[in-house]
Amino acid sequence: MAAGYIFEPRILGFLCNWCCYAGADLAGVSRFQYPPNIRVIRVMCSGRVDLAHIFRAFATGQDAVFIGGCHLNDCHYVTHGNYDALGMVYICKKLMEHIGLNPERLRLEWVSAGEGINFANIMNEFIPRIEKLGPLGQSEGMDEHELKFKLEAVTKLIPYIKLVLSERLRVPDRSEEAYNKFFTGEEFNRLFNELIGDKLALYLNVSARNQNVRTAAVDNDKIDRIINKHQGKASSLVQVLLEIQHENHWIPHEVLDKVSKKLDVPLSRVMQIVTFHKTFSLIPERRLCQE
Amino acid sequence: MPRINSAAELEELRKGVLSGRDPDKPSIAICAGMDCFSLDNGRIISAFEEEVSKKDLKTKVDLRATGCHGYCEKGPMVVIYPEEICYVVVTPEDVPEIVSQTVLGKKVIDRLIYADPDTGEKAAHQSQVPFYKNQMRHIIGNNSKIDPKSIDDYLAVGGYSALSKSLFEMSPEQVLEEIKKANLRGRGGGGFPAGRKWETARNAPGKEKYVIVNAHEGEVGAFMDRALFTGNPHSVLEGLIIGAYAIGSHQGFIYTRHDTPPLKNHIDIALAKAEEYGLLGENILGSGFNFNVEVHLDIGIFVSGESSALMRSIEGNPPEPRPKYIRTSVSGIWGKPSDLNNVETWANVPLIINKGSEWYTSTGTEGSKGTKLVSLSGNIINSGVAEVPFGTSIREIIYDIGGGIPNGKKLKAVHFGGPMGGSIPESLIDTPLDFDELAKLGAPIGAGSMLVLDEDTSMVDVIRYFLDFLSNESCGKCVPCREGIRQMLKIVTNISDGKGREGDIELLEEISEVTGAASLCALGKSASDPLLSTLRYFRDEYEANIAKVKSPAEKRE
Amino acid sequence: MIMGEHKKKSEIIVQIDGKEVKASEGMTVLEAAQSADIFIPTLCFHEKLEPYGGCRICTVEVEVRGWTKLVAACLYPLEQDLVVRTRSEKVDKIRKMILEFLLAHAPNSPQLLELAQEYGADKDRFEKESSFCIVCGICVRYCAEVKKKNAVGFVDCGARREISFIPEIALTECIDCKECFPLCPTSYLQAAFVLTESQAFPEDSSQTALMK
Repeated sequence: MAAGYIFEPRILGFLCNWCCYAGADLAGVSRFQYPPNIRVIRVMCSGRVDLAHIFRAFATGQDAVFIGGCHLNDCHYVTHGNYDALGMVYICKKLMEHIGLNPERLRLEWVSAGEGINFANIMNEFIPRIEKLGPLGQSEGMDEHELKFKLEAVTKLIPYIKLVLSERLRVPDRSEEAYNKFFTGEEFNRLFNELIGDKLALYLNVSARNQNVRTAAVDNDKIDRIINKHQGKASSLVQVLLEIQHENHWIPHEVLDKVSKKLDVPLSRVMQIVTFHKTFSLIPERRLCQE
Repeated sequence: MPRINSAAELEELRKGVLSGRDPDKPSIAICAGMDCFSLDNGRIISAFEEEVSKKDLKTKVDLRATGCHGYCEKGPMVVIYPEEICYVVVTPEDVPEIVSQTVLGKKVIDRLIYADPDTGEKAAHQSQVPFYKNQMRHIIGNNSKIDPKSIDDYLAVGGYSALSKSLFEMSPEQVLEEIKKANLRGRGGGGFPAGRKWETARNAPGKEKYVIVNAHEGEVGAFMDRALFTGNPHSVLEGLIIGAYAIGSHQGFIYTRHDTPPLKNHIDIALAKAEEYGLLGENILGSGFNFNVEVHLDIGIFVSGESSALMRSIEGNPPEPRPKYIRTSVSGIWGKPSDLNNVETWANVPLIINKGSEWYTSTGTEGSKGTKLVSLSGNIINSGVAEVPFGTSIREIIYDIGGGIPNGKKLKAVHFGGPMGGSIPESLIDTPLDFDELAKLGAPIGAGSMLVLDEDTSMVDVIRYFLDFLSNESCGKCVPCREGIRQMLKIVTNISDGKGREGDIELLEEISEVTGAASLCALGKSASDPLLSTLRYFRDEYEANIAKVKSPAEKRE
Repeated sequence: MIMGEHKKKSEIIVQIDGKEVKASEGMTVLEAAQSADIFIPTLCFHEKLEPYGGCRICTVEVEVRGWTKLVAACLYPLEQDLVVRTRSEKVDKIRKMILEFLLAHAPNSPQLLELAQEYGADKDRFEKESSFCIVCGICVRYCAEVKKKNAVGFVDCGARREISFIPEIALTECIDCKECFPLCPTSYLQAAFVLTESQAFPEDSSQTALMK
């Protein structure tokens, strides 16, 4: 960091039109001071804010995100959108933890239209906090490249995460108690880890490994010979795959394709067999010492 | 080697082989079975080779790396013929002494022979060693006399005479009748009469039929098929060809494990040699009967040992079973009648043809004839592969052959049939070894693996292990098996960790009922059998864990 | 060649729930029941596909030659004088438990909930499972047998069995098709699809999803 540089945090705020935005307005009119680092986007309901918006904010240089909505059970819409925001923020914080970002950088608060001083107080506490944390990635020990990569990974998974959220992580009872109980409970932890956490970790690993996979040596001649021996014989599928695994110790994706075409079997069947049992490996594993 | 083209030529060849062998010539048989292999018998074999060439004994002494001798606990094992002196736990350093003292000097080395751990009584000859004395080694006895890579060795012990007899002296129907009279029951776990299966396949419509050797042996704790097949592949092959002749099949398949290179190697060599000699392929022994064999490897999953899954795998599909509303002996591989039998079942066939069904049925019980290979493992002093006649009590097998329980512990239970079997408590070990008797007690014999459990074992943990195994090794197609095992595993794990709840046992029983009734294949149907058998005899262990009191096994710690 | 293959399949009479049903040899119990308007619940069955026998909820009791056994109606071939019972204590117990197993995965599936009402299945009997696919295989089989594209297949085995799209094929075929989506009793198919999209597509996947 160059000498004399003072970090000014950039914070993006999504404020719901009916309560929080009015509250912030009131704070301004009443001349309650708070640092100017927050830029506000007015949304009609806090429930409108999507996971994609939050990660897009982080990806485009924001150091923190603030979401403000009506108090629970006071939502101006019949659908009680602020509960959706609550659920979404719980998931988002978990995701941030998973990729190594400090979950404090995301804040959700309920501010009503008449609570101008409350809004100012929250800002006066939140913004210096972020200032202390420093730029995004720095307090977490991540460099720019790694941060970008991880945010991209999460963003790609968002359509899937939203489906999981609506199918599996639904809380049937719209009450603060029920929501808090569910999202801090064991079941949520377990479901999240199995459904999202694993996929995310896998995706992060696979993408990182993709670089290495390209360069891993593959004896194409030997593999071609094995496949050509059984050309056209769909019934030899298992034998061919076993031979390739034995020779090469792993089966690259292009080889699966080749096998599928030359033996005239659908690629989905090849995939089913190679994933059927841990006998086959689709990534170059480190050899065990027994060699 | 010119092809053998008649029964007479075969006998000529056999005579020739035997005349070239002096029965008094010393021969050294080193066990090269899987267990001894892992105990580094390679170095012992090389040490013998070196010593023999050093002392210039190549023509005076026969050296053989044979199949598994069965006494895996005391490996590496060496047997010196013709005296049948048996040395146990041999090291490469012992080799020079063995050659000079025993092979040449005809003296027994005291420190290397078997000594009873309790009485100290010694036994120099293999037939006197308690492990072997109480067995009836019809099928596996030849393992220590033949080199699996040599077909001449097999001919020297009378091999392929049953094939010649079937092809030239019997009609296919007569062969089938003989097998039916002998009441040969499947040794792979089903216990289904092989003769009936052969008959169904023979009578099924269609000209193309297949015979299959199921050498998959996925059952946990079973290793006798491997010992038999690796050590004496020709015996199984001969049985297969006879079976094919009886059924009218001209194409055979051997389905075996991909992870045992010596097994595949020996099978390939045996097939090549048999074809070279005219015992396989076109016009076998000049009889006009054609028969070819293909070897297929599995992908490593337990469910592919199930007969219909196995056939899917041979076709090149993922090994998923299908319900047996139409028998596989009527519609199997590619919809053609396919007869599938276990390795041991096939190995019994030449014996029945040679000695006759009357001789065969003189051994065994009313419902189970002949002998059975069992693999002893777990908390037992003498682990290994043993062969006993049906009717032998389990007590005899465990104490007389198995040597009892190590460390002075008491026997708690014996588990048969791996993850699809059941346990017999100590109080019932006088039950004879018999398909029906054991099935009545809820512990079907399965493939013959006997897992011996001592008093420190927690039965709940054993069940957890089996359910965990099955949840990974089932194909996952049908709901009762996939989900049922998943839920049962969860509950048993909770009970094992002391987190069991009231009503868990009843829930387990309910799930078992559904899984057992509605599953697609035998794996799902028998997945809950070990659980039910332990609930039958060891219910107190489950209840203790649920009442959050230390289980009887834990109390002792 | 089986004798009579070219002749019309012989007619046989079976009994389902006490009702006499005329059917032809080789039909399955399910086909015969459907032709007589007798309801047997199914989950993995679809008229355009080969019967699968995976969900086992069509289990019925059949009596033949004095033996009673439980079989899957969608696969069991008819025989002369077969007696079928589509409801009984055992059958109901099996169906109830199968539903409870599946509800632990997909408690909001409309098909499951409808059947659960009939059999009194409790959706909270078992702990919630993370995966909300019930592995009925309709999507996989539809793509393999009807569309013949094999864009989606099974992977893994046992308790870990899942469906997965093949990225290369899904990239070109699924965008214009998606005929399997409404066949899925849960919404796992969509989830699996967007997952594949996210991992394979270089461009902004949220835009593509929005445009459909």
